[in-house]
Amino acid sequence: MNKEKAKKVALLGMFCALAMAISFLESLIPPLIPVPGVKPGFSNIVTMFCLSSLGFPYALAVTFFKATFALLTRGVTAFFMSLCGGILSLTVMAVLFKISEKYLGYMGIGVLSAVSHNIGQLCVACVILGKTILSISPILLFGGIICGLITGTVFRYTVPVLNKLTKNLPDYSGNKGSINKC
Amino acid sequence: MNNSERRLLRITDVLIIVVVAVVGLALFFGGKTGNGNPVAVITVDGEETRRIDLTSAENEIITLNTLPEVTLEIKDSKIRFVNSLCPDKTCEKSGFLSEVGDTAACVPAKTVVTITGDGNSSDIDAVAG
Repeated sequence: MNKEKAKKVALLGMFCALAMAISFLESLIPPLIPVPGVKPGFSNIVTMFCLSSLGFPYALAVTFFKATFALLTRGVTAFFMSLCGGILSLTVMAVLFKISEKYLGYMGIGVLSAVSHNIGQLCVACVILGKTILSISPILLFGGIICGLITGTVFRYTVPVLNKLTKNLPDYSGNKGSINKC
Repeated sequence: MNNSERRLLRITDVLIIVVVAVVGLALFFGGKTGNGNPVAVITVDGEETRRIDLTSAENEIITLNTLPEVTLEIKDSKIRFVNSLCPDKTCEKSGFLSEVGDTAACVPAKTVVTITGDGNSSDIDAVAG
């Protein structure tokens, strides 16, 4: 039981590091959206990984971690934008993952979570800057579609690899590669 | 959790993408309905501080009394942020704004510049978007 938990915490650390790296790489792309703090949110994919492999509380932890990273690097407004967008996106994602795979594919989940991420950020921007900023909402919706299609596709093809990884983590007790344990 | 059965794309996903795109287009063209000459509206902290008709505007440098200080440049009926006092230069990267619906913002100074139509133009008929 404890080993299981240790594994999960280790994976959580890895996910946090990955989210940070993706956020950093994202900041190198010239901004498509002319509002500081509003990002396409490719690090959403990490939240998606975390949600599917470790569960909601761990994904929430990653979301808080991302927001803290934003606070340290880009200030208080970025913190609130990241947190608001992150939590809204995670909630939508968690609900959509419950929908049977017969009806919904990865692209739909990716698009809706990316769009809700952007809506969360826009709400914070609206509170800070006033409602004229809402005129950027079409860019945010289209940005969400493109970003969601990319994250959905990447998720679809990397999640089998990830599942293998989470099942084959070396055990401290020595029974390595207990594939069907999880 | 078993996600390996889930497909990449189903009919629901296509519907979701179409609906989001349609809402996006509706908002986009809805934002363009302010017909007529482009007018730059500058808001600070949610309050409108200046309104400039870009077609008749002279080339000008505007400095706003915000913290950090924001400088705007009007040139050839276009407006842009030239402020260099804030740490992240996102507002400057937005470049010149000239079309109705264009928007740029500086979050640290709580300043938004957006282009709307003045609605007075007589040679363009209003078409509901």
